[in-house]
Amino acid sequence: MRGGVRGPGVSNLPAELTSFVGRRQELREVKRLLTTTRLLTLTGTGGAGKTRLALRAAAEMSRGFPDGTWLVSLASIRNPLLVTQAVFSALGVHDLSAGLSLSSLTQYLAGKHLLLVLDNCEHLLDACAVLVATLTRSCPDVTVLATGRQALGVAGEVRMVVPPMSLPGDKDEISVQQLLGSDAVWLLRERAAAVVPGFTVDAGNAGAVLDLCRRLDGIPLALELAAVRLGSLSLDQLNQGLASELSILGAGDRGAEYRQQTLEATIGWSYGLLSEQERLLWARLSVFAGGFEQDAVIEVCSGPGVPASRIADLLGALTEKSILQRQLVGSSARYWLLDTLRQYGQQRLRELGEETTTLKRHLGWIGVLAKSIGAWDDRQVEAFARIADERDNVWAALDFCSREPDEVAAAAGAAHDMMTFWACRGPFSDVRRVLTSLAETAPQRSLARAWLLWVAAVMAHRENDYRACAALCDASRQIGTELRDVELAAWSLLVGAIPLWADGDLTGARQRLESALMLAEAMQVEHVELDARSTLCGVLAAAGELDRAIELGEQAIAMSMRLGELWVRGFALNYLGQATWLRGDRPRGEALAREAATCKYALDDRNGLAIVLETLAWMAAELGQHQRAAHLLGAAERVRHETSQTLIELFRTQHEKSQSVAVQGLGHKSFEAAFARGRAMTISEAATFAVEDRQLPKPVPAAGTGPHTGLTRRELEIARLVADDLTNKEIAARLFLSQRTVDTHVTNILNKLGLGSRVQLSRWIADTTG
Amino acid sequence: MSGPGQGTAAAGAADHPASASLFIVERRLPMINEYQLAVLQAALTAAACRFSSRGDGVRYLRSIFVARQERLLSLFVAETPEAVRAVNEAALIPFASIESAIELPGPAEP
Repeated sequence: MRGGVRGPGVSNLPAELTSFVGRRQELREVKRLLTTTRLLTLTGTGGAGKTRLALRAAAEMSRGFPDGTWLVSLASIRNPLLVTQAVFSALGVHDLSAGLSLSSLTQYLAGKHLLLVLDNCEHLLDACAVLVATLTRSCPDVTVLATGRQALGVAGEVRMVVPPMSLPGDKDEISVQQLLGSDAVWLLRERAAAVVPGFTVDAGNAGAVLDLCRRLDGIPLALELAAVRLGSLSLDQLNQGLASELSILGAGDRGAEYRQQTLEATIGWSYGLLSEQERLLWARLSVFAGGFEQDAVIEVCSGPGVPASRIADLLGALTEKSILQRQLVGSSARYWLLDTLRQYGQQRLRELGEETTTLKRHLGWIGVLAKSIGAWDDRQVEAFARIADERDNVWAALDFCSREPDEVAAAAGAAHDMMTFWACRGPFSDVRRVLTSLAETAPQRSLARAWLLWVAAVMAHRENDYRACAALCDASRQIGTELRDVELAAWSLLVGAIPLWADGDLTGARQRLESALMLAEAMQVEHVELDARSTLCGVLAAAGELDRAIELGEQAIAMSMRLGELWVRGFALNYLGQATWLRGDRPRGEALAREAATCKYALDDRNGLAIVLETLAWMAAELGQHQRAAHLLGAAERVRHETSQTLIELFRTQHEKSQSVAVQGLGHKSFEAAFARGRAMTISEAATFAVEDRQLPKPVPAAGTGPHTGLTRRELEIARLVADDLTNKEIAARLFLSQRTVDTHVTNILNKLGLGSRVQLSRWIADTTG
Repeated sequence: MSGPGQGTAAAGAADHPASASLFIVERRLPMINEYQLAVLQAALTAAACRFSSRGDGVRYLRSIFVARQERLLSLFVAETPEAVRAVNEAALIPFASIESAIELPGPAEP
C-alpha cells in the first residue's frame, strides 16, 4: 500500500479466512458504541474473539471513515518505542521523519477521518494509552477501537467486555433447535463441518456437543482447536480427552481467570495430541514476529527433530489443526501464529532449552535476507519487497542482539547490508536510535561498533541532522583507520562529505569524496566507488565543474547498470541530469532526471523520489513551464507529507528558486492552484506525471464505487489492468512494481472480493464500472 | 546541598520518600518545533501520571530545552532508573541517556 489514499473502503483489514459466526448482539453493540465515542476498548480473556469482532465491526463501518480503517497489530511488538512505527507501517506510510515520530504521526493524522484498530494492546498498555490519549487530543476525526485483556484507562474511553460465545441454557433437556441458537454450538458446527463434510448437530450427538461447548466455556479459540480434531476423533473421545485435561481446574468461579485457564488447558491438550515433530515445530516457530514463509521456516526451524524435507507437510498439518493461520500471497503462502498460541510456543521452546539457539538461527536468516539487499544487484526491487514484508522479524532480530552482546557483530553486518533499504524506507530515527544503542554494547575499537555508527550516520543525514552525521562518521572513520579497514574508512569519508556539502563547503566535500573514491578504486570496493562517483557528480555539478561531473555521472551509471542496482543509479541520473542541463543539453538533462524518477519509484524510495521531483520542477521552471513546475513542487510536497519528511536542506536553494520562478510566471493565485493540484496526486500519479510528459492524470474513481469493495486505490488500479487482459508481469512493468508485488495485490483483490479467477475479476470490473 | 542521588531539595521532589533520587534524561531533538515540544511534554506528563497514580514511584518534574544545542533535559524523581526508563518508553519518546543527578538548590525565596 502506498500512502495517501482516500476514499470509502480504503483499508488494510485482512480478508476473513474463515466464516464469521454469531456475535450479532455484540457486533451491533460495538457498531453502536463506535458512533458515540472516539475510543472503544474491547476487553476479554485470550481467545475470546476480540480481534475477530473488532475487525468485523471495522469492516462493516468502513464507509463512515473516508480515510480508511486500519489494523495495527501489536502482538509482535515488544519495544514500546516501536508502537508509533507500527501505526505508520499499518497505514502504509514510510516514516521518513526526523526526530519525534509521535508528533509526526499526529501531524499526519490531524486532518484525517479514519478508524484505527489497535489490536493486542495488553503487553504495551502504557504506551498504547499515551498514544491514544495523544491522538484523541490532536486528531479530532480519528477513532480508535482497541483490543486487549484490560482497558487502557484513558479519559473518554468506553469499555466493552467481549464475553465467551453464548451457550445453551443450564437445563438438561435442550432441543437441537435451541442448541443451534447458541453461538458456541454454531461455531463448533461450522468448524467441524470444514473437517468432517456433512457434520451437523442432531438428536444423536446433541448431548456430546452440549458437553463440549460447556466444557470449553464457549471460548471461540478453544472451540476452534477442538472442532478441527473431529477429523480424527469422535465427539466422545474429544470430551473424554478434554475432561481429563480440564479436571485440574475444578469447579471454581467461572470468571475471566477460570476461562483463561480453560483456554490454556485446551491449548495444552491440543499440543499433546500433536506428533513430536509438530510440537517441536510449533515451539520453534514462536521466534518469528509478524509471520513467516516456508523458506524461512526451513532456514530457522529445520534440524534435529524436524527434517527440512518434512517442513511443508508439517506446516500444512499445523494449519489444518488451526495452530497456524495461512494466507496465500501470490504463489506463496504466509503463515502466522495467533498471539496466544505464539506465547504458548515460546514457553515450550524455553522448556526445551532451544530458545537462544533458535533465536540465533532467526538472526542468521535475517542476515541472509539482509545480504540480498547488500548485494546491490538486479534483485534489489524484490529484495526490498521481501525485507519490507519481514520488517517485524528484522526488529525482533535486532532486539535479540541487544540482549545478547555476543551477537552485536551479526547485527552490525545486517545493518551494513540493509543501509540502502533503510535509507529509502526509514524509519530513520528508530533505526538510528536502535543502532546507536547497539553500538554502545560493542567493544570501543571494534568494526561492529564502527559499522553501526556509520549506518546511524546515514540515517542522521536523512534526518537533516548533519552535525550528528559528521560526528558519527568521524567516530566510525577513526575506528576504520585504526583497524585498517579500507571499506569502512572509505564509506565514512563518503558519508562524512555530505554535511560539508550541506554547509556549502564544496571544496571540503570534494576532497573527502575524492579520497573515498581513491581508496575504493585501490581496494576495488565497488559499492563505495559507485556511490562516490555519483555523489561527486552532484557536488561538482553544484560547483560548476560540469565536464568532470558528467564524466563521473556516466561512469556511475555504467557501473550501476553492470551491477543491476537502482538505488545509486537514481541519484546518479539525477545529478547527471542536472550537470547535462547546466551544460546546455536540456532535453537530455530532463530525460535523465525522468529516468531517475523511474528508478526511485521502482524502488519505492520516496526520499529519493521527492529529490528528483524537485529537480524536474527546477527544470520545468527554467523552461518556462510554470504550470508543470508548480504541479511538480506540489507533488514533491505530497511525497514529503506522506512520509513525514522535511525538505532536505541540501536542496533548499534549488527549491526556493523553482518556486520563485513559477510564482513569477503564474502569479500567486494560479501558482497556489497548480501547486494544490500537484499536492493532491497520489505518489504513483506523481511519478507517472513526472516521468511521462502528459497532462495531470484524471482522478481515479474512489475505490468502493458501487458496492463496498474494501479495495485500495492501488488494488482497484491493478484490477482494472487485469480486466484489460494484462499479465502480472506487464502490470508490474506498467506500474514500476515488482512482479511479486503485483502477485500479492492480485491475490489480495481476489480474496477481498471473494473471487476465484481473473476472468471473474474482469467481469466484476465490467459490472461495477459499467 | 543534597548528597548524590538524593535530590531532596528539588521543587516537587521533597514529598517523595528518602529512597527516591533525581534523574536527568537527555535527548537530542534536532529541528524540533514548538508543536513537537508540546506533544512531547503532553506525552511525558500523561505517562508519568499513569505511573505515579498507581504508586510506581516515579514523578516527572520538568524539562529544559537548550535550543542551540538541540538538547532536551527532563528531570524525574524516582526510586530506580528503570522506572524512569519505563515512563519515557511509555511516552513513546526516545532518549539518549538516563543519569542520576544532584541538585544544587538556589537561595531560598524571600
